[in-house]
Amino acid sequence: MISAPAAARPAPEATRRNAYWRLLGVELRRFGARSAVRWLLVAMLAVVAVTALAAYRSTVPPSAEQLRQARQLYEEQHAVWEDTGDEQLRQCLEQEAVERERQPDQKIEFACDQMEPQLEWFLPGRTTFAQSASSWLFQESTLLAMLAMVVGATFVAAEFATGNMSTWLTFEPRRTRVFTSKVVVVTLLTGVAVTAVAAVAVGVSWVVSGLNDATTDATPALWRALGGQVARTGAAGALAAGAGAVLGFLLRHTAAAVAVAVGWFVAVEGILASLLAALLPWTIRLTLTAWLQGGTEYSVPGVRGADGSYAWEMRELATWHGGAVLLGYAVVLTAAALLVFRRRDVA
Amino acid sequence: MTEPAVTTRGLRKTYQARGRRIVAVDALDLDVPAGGVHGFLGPNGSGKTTTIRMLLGLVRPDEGEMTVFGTPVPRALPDVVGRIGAIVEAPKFFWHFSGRRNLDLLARAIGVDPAHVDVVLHDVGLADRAASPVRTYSLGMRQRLAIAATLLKDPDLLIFDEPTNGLDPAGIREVRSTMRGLADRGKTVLVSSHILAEVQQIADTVSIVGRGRLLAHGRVADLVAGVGAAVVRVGVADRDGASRVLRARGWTVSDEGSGLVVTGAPAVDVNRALAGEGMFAHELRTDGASLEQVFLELTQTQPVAPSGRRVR
Repeated sequence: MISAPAAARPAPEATRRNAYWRLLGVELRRFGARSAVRWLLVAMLAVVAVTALAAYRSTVPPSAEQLRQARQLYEEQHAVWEDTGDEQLRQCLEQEAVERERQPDQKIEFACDQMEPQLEWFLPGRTTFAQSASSWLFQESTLLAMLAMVVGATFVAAEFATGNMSTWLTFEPRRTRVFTSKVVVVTLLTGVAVTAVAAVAVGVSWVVSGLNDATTDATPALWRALGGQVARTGAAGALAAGAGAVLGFLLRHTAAAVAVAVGWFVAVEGILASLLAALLPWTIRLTLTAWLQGGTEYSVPGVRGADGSYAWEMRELATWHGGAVLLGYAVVLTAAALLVFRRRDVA
Repeated sequence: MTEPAVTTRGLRKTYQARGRRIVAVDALDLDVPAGGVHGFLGPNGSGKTTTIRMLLGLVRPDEGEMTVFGTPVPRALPDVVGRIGAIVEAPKFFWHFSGRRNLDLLARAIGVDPAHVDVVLHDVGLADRAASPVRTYSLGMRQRLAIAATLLKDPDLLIFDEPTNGLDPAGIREVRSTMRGLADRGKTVLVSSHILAEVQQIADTVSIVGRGRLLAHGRVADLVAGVGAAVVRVGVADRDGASRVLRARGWTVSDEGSGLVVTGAPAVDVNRALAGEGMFAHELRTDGASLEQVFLELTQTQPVAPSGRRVR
């Protein structure tokens, strides 16, 4: 016969006082123990590795053979320019004048004074850490945010998929506590992880660029800007993980959470926003870009011209706008999920 | 008078399914006395699991009141949840975590010393497999792990929902012994099952439900005796004399050649009556009467809602 052990029941007062901290501690342990979470963190590091490879390739200096070929091409083209350059310049200025006359309200600039061939035109494209670090990080950030969302979704949905949520609720029936403990832990820990991965990504890019002598133009101002971008990437990762967790509560399956996210981007951000330009500043795609890049621009159709064509109008989206909109979405989604979880039957 | 462990009054739960509303539990008044094993019996789909889920706050009732040890639930469930240990249907754990890690998380969540995990694992005979992932456990092992989880809290009320489903005979016997042992230590064990004969062996009291409604409740002996279906086969040397003695008590007696068949009395009373007259039975066997008969009789005679319990 299975015997019942001696009493282990904690004191009720102590239970109430410390219950929430205990829940947070338990969720923290579970987060660290989940193999799915570990694999997704490995995937984040893989993203860093791929970016580092791309950084290396784009900063690598031209080889002697590439230099020789470039010089040969340059000399050939420059010889042609010496023969025909004056004529080319005259034609360019003429066309520029015609176009300025046709569109007096537009600023027309053909850059005719920059037509003379230069040696760097014929060299393989090469960038530096200072020129590209921000865009490398931005490209990584998008992937990191997607992975963070999956981390959040699987962290919660796995509890429903295994049926463990009902077991959990027989130990802690206060659903708001259960909900917030899971969302808080996955949001904070994933945010910290994404921040660390983004910082590592910048560091690795710097090291890799340094191998190609492409870091000499890095200034303190650049590092400050990159530091801010890393912090914003971490915050975006945290929000994405929280949104994933909240979707996990709503939909109870990781695949469903991912499908809804993909469906949103296709239907709302892709199709609907292309039909209704007024939606653009409220799309996750643009607001996330503004938040990560420290502001962005987007174009909307402006006034119709005499020939029936639209002149596109550029508009700016500030960093704070991006952050505020994303935070607003997260708050609304979280409130809805909490309401549903508090009322819904758990199998 | 001792406070009941569980009460429900007018409990009702309906589900929406395929455009229709299905009644799972209907005006259920349940009383589970504190102490002992209480069988919560009924066929599959009779509302047992739904009722248990409502008691545990997993499912919201449409109507009705519930208390556990006098505390209204689910409103004040957090106040009393520490006194409840429950296994609802199949044991549910994180399959990729070990048994020990699963229990460790639960123990930490309720403020129990994690060292206690090994104690309960040892008590349910899982100490050797504590480090193995739960996905490698047999159903019986998972059931034992679930029992260990309930014991973490040292609860006063243990709720087992179909605890022997999928177990082999040895496992069934072990779980039965466990439930009886807990009750003998003063705990209240509420066990739901659709296998009536199994519960009859350990239950002190039962509630029988059918299609979401309470059909009968009370002590097992009373219910079984109440249906009048019990027959006691008596082998005795003086059949005529014994027959007269037993008929004089108002019981129905027939002589089937090899012995007497007595209807309407428990075997112990038959034996006592014969012994009182200096007659001693060489065979005394109770046949027939069981909770199953009680249940069948009740479901045939009790009114149930028409149209397959569907309402608008």
